[in-house]
Amino acid sequence: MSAQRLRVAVVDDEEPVRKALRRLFLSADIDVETFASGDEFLASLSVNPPDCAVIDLHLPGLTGLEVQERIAAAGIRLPTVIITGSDQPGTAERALAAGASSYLGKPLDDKVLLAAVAAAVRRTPS
Amino acid sequence: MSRRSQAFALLSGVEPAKTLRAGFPALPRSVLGVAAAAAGYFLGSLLGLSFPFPFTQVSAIWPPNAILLATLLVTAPRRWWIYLLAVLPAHLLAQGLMGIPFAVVLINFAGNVSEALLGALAVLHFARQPVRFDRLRTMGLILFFGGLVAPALVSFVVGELLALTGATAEPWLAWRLRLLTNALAVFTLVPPIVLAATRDPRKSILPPWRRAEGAVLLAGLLAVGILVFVVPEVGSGHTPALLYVPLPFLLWAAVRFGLPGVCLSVLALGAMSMWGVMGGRGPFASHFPIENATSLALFLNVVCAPLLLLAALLEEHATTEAERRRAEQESREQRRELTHLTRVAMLGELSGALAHELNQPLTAILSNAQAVQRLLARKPLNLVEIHDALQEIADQDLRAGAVIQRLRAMLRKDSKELEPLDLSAVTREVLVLAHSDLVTRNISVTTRLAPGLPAVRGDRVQIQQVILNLILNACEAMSASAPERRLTLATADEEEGVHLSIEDCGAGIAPGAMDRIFEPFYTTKEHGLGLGLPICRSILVEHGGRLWATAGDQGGATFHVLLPRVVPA
Repeated sequence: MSAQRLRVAVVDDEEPVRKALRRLFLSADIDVETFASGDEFLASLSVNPPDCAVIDLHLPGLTGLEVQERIAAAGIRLPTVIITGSDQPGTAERALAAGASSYLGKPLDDKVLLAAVAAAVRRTPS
Repeated sequence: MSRRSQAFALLSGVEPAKTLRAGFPALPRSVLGVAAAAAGYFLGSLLGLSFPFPFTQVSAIWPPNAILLATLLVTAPRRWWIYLLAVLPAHLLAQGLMGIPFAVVLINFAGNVSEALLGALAVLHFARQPVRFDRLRTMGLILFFGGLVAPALVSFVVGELLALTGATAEPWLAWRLRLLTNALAVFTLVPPIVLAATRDPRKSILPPWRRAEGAVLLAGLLAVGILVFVVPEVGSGHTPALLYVPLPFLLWAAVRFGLPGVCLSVLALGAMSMWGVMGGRGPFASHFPIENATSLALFLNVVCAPLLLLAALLEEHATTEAERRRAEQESREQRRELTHLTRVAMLGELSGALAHELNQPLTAILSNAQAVQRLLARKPLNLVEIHDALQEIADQDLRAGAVIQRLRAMLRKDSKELEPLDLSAVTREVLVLAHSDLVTRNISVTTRLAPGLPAVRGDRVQIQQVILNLILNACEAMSASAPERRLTLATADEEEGVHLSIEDCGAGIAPGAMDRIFEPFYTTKEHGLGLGLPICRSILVEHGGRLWATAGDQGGATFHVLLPRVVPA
């Protein structure tokens, strides 16, 4: 696994955020795929699932939590990091209970984000 | 108390209480008030006794009773006894100095005190509570009871008592003189004293041009007074019509300077006519001294009373008008406060969404910046990528700035000038503000915002507040169990003005509640105050527009905002 580059999926409804996170991951030698909605992302899973998914809570249609819950319900072993721009009480617990590896508030410091992704991948061996 | 003592000081020529207090800081103000009342009474007695008409012991004015009456009117009845006791030594001293027999001194004191008490009790009994001296009714009561009824009754008893002691052989004449001189004192002294004691002293400070007007008035009055009362010789063919010459000046005083103006003018007129009489000149200088005194006092009383009532009436009109304006100003102020408070509360509700709205650009900025740091550590440099990242940082920074700008505008308290607004554009701005909240609530927004609408004139922030409030209400209505969460906003140019409709698919409004929802404190929300819609409506009414609700086509509710078009100049 060490020889192969990590591949991360970023799910966020805003293009500037998707582009920035893509640039950050690429600069850290991590490959990135981006999705603007939960549905789009879930549909991609059957074809080529990533090593880890970074999912925003705040999405049109399915919310980040619902995406996480669907992943869990489908029995897919996919490490996830949930991110949010407005931290509501109780959501962190719900996200972690649904199987998320970590829950991070925006804006995201690169070291924290990359460490969370690394930890998520380590914790959930495929 | 200081105002009261100032009033007395004004009258008696003593320095105002401020100076006294500076000298004796330990003295309580009530003591100064009592001292001022006693001093006023003493000086008033001396004045009344010192300038009698030739060959009589009577002056045209008898001030001490009026000073006592005014004192009682502006103090609490439970403290009257202090003032009555305090004027006793003043009375004994003044009348003793004049060599008046002790029995007469005592009769006079009993008469003065009972007259002031009677007048004050009657005024307080019949006046509307709380007693206000700038009211026509109060002034009428003071003139009638204080100036006529009380002096008439008491003077009768005093006259009889003086006749019993042998001090006068003509109780009827004593009655007439005492009544007229007391009435004149009440008419001219009580109104300025009670007003000065109860009114805001700042109101009494006249601007320079008004003082100049007062000086011109006084000069005119003095000139006319000399012409009428001092120049003509007795029996010089003086025509009674000349007595009316001062009237325009007195009316001027009443209309422009109110009660104090009338009182001062009549006092000035009285002083000049006394001067004339003492020099044996003028219309009141006949060969019968007592007749002179009574006819002069009668003349001054008759001139003074209606002018005082006129001045009181004008004063009452002016103060009620000022109070109405102040109340209006206050309620406008309160409405503004409330509007601002509800706006702040609404933004509080949106705080989660607003935090998200700011965190999105901040996330993009931080991640781009940290990506650039990593890219700079690599060789060869990918300048295109670095350039793009920096461009993104700049763009997102501007976006965050705009969010803060919008927030600041909404949080600002003072409203800006009205400006021409495009209702479609304003609606779009509000949708940007509410965007995150709408996404979180999973509400899909359909807009039919007409381009090129005619402008409406309004306060941008207030109109945004109305639209945001209506959007949040619609979201709330759909949060319960609406199967479809769709919000439709449409603008149109209509006959009556520019129209915005906000339609939801919520539970709708019960038919009976359609009008009640705009009443204050009516709410269907669990945590609602019931102020949002009434404030929205009042904002629109202030803009000359309307706000109403109808049942929506899809079962929900539709709220309608109508604003008048800006009329092209």
